[in-house]
Amino acid sequence: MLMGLGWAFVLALAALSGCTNNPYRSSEAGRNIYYDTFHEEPKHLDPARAYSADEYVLINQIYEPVVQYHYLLYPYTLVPLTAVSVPVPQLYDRDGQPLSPDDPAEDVAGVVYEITLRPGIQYQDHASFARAPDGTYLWHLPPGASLPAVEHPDALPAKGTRELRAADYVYQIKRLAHPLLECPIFSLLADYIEGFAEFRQMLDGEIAAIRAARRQAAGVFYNQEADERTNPIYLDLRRYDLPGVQIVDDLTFRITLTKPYPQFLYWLAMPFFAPVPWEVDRFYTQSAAVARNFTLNRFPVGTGPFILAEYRPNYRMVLQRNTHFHAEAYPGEGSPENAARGLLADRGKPLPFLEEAVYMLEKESVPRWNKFLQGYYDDSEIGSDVYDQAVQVSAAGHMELTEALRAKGIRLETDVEPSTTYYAFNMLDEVVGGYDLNKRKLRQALSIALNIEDYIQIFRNGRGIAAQGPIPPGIFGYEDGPAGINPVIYEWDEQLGRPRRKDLETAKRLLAEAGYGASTPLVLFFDTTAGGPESKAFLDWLRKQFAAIGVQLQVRSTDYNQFQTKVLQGNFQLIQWGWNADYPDPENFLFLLYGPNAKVTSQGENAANYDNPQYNELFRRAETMVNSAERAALIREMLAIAQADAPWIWGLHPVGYGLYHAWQHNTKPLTFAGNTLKYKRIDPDLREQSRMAWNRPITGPLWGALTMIIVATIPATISLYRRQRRVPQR
Amino acid sequence: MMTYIIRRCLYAIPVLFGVNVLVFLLFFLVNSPDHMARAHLGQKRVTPEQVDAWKRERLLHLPYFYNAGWRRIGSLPAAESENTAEFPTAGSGEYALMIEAPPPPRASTPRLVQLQSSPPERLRLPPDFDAQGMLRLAADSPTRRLFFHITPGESAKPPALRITFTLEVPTPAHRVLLEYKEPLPLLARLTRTIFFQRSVKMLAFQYGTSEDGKDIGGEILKRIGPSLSITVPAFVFGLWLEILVAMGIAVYRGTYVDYWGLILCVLMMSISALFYIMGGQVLLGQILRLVPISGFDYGPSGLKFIVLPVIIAVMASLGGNVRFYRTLFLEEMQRDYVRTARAKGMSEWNVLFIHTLKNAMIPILTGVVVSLPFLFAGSLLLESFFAIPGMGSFMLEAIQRQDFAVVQALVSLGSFLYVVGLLLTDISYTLVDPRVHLE
Repeated sequence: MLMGLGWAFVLALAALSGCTNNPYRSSEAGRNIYYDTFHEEPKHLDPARAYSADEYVLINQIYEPVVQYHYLLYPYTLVPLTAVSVPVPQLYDRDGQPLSPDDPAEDVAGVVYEITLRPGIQYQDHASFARAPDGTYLWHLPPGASLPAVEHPDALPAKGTRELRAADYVYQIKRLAHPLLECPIFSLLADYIEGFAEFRQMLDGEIAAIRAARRQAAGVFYNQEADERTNPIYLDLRRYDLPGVQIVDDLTFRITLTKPYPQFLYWLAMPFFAPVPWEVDRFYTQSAAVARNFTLNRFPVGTGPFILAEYRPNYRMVLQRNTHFHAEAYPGEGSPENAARGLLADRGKPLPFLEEAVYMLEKESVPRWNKFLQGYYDDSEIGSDVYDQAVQVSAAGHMELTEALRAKGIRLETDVEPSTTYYAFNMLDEVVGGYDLNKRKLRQALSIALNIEDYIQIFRNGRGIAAQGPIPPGIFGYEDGPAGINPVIYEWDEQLGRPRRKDLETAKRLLAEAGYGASTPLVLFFDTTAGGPESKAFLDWLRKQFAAIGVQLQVRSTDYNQFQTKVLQGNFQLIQWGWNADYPDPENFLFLLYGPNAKVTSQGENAANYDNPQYNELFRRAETMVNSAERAALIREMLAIAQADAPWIWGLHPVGYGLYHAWQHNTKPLTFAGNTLKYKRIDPDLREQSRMAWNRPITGPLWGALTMIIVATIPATISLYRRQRRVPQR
Repeated sequence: MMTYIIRRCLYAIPVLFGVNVLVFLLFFLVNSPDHMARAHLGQKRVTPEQVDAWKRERLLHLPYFYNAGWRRIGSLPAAESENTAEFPTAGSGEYALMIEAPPPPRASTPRLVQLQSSPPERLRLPPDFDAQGMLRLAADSPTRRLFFHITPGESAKPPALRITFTLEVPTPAHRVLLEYKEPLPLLARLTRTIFFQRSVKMLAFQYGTSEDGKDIGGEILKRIGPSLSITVPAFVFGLWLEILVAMGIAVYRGTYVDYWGLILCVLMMSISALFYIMGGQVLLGQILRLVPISGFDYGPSGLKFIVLPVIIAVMASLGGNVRFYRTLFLEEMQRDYVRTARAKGMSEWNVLFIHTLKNAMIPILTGVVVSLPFLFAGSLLLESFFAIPGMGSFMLEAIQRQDFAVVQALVSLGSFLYVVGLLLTDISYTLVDPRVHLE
């Protein structure tokens, strides 16, 4: 009976909460809201600093760069977003005379991108634009003043909007050089944008001067950190001239690069190059805003289809339709395959379709998955731990969803991700590094021995494509079929129509030629952050791969910090790493093997420290070329060199699996375009019905358990009762 | 008693200071400021300049404990076989050259360093340099520091230094750093350190901001609510249930209820908390569909979210405590006063709930009071699995992000709560047991 009280309490609480497993408020039922999750608080929403996928999920819907990726076209194509057209770079020589693209590259002294914006694009309503009748800004306050106590800047009583201007893009590009903003791609841009490095030095000087003045005014006990926390340094960047970025007129601006860089267009499609009006910067960089925790890092202001209506990173984020969003229609052109997948059904309709998008904090994958199955999230990835629940191999031999998921109307879509994983040899190492024939044979032997196809089957459930080189499918320079294989490791199998890994005998022969055999066995060190029991299977498998050709693999597990230090110092033999593309250009993969990018010498992204002069020379030539037959030939040559040198054991290109409920439309698992939320469409009625049908509460077993506990204690209660009533006998 | 409390508070100061030092040592034993910078700046395209700027903004470029005044005034990367650069100096004083090299075996190349100044007469080199200002370095140590002086001279213009660094075999990852020893007052030598800036201030509850610029004090206040919404109901309801069940089992002692109850308790003690979490989510959230699997909301609509975590928290601690309390009750039931009470004809019910319960509460209470402050600290596992934005998940995130400021603040707070808990326990002794006096 006493145990029963506990269950009674449980039941009382369950009854109190209306007995539902619906995690949302009842007011949200049936509304046109898309539900997704985030795993941890995004560090930066400031477009000058954001550079990771979880940040882009949000800010790509809010900020609009001048160009965007076409949602459906493949290969990836840029189309105008706020610009009238995709800018065409104009080359100039030293005397300022225009050049044609066919002129020799040495002559080029400047590349100009002139960008004209569409008129009439409005910002979202925001406090920073609010003005009094006399034209002064209501919330640009003097030091010492304070803002009303609200949680979100949108809750301030007066708001305003204004038209998008070229000056806003220029202002943001200047922000990329702001020393206090720590923009991750500043050094990259400083190589190209005219006067960018000098501009930063000028800002450095300004900040140093302001700091010195403040220190002098405050005296000996000045605490710079505490002062700047409450009273941030504001630089009105309009006052500083950046030669490489100039305003032409209200709707036109010009970016000048010092050398050709065709990939610059792809950067222009990223939020780094979104507009930030000076009013917004002024509003957020004032002590009154900082005191309320209002910063651009948390409360973005843009022209995009959505606004960040709720920012509660501990709990949930809400994007809401921007009432000022300019007219944009669902794209009309697409492949027949797109049409077959239903991606063209909405062509020409105004965007966005959703009213709201809610992102809930979800830290663990198991609850995330189960709530997807209950219909509370609209889409999901397939984690390895739930793979068997979701996907099975059909009788015909291909992947399909399990019965349970198909019964719910869930749809599976797959796409090769624009990324690659690899095992890098340290080319500076005395054992595995070096460029002579023996060293090459050694690396080739090890590359053959490590069976990536097996790895994909065992550890990724077949979700991957074994890499032939660094470039993944869908990027220029990738070749399918027999021409695209890595002849060092693979042979083309005519019967199966796919590459076949060379056998272990070949690997053993190469190893023997490299000078290793039974009498002189090779011990290879593999540095990894994998340690615990969950990675034991992988490490055992890896040891077995190399043991098959008589190489002993020693695994050195370290924490991530030590691992990073080892890689930076070049103190390793073999590591596993990966790369996600920034943009769909082969340069973004080939530069991972470019000598001057070596980790040890220049802390670049070339972790293998591979430095082959021939490859470097070809890379320099192909780097800034436009895609052409000539470029393809250069890339083919580079790949052949890298394949023969084998600085990497080429890993795999992952295949992403996306699951979608029947009520979600216009879905595409992967694309470089980050601003995909505006294309998504939800059928809220179907979702509501499905959720109802799938989630009827069951209370019976609880009552059963309660009854059982009570019944079980009855005999003991009776005997206890009797014992108390018993008259002691003498 | 007042003097006792004051004395205990004074004892707490060295304890808290010691905890701070310990956290500082442990944290920086594993993470260097460079690691922290890289963890915060992300994976892609991070340059050494960015790392330096990040550290400088957060005062993490300072030495750990003692600032001798050494300041870097120049750096010469050395990838070629011969590298030369000229640096302006800061005037007379002590200087040092840091020769950085990769660890062996790749450092195994002999190196040659030459120092010249213009005008030459003010440069004072140690005797191991030759007349031309050259020094040959053996191929052994990865890092070496060479000290030298610049003497005061007539001209106001400080001399310029020319450094030539030659590698017999060009090996990348070499670097020569020029450092100047700034004369610092004694106080500044101690305060211009990471330890003082980051840890000592913590003692005054000045938490400052997290590494990405958020106010830690405000964040803690925001997160205490959600934590308490789980821990307080779990604590109250758990205590009530544990006492009730323990008394029930004590009443039924010797019967099959006692026997099976104990087996059940041992079983519940042996199961890991993770199992309760996963099992609870599957049973109540997925199969019976009575509560949401995870999530959180503020206000009354959040009630449905706390039901499951509270039940799980109670279940996870039930077994052990029931066994403990049962023992206490049984011990009390053997006492003389219980026999007297029975003898004078009190009902079993009154004996149990008036006499036995009251006396058994003394050990129970003291055990409970010490855990009271920890209600504020939340639960790491529960908060993570149920996505509850409380203190536990704050700690977990901070560790994952290598956010020293937050880790330090939370550990300080935790040790403070622990000290308070122990003090409360002592005081509660005197309240429930009149025999105890605090001297």
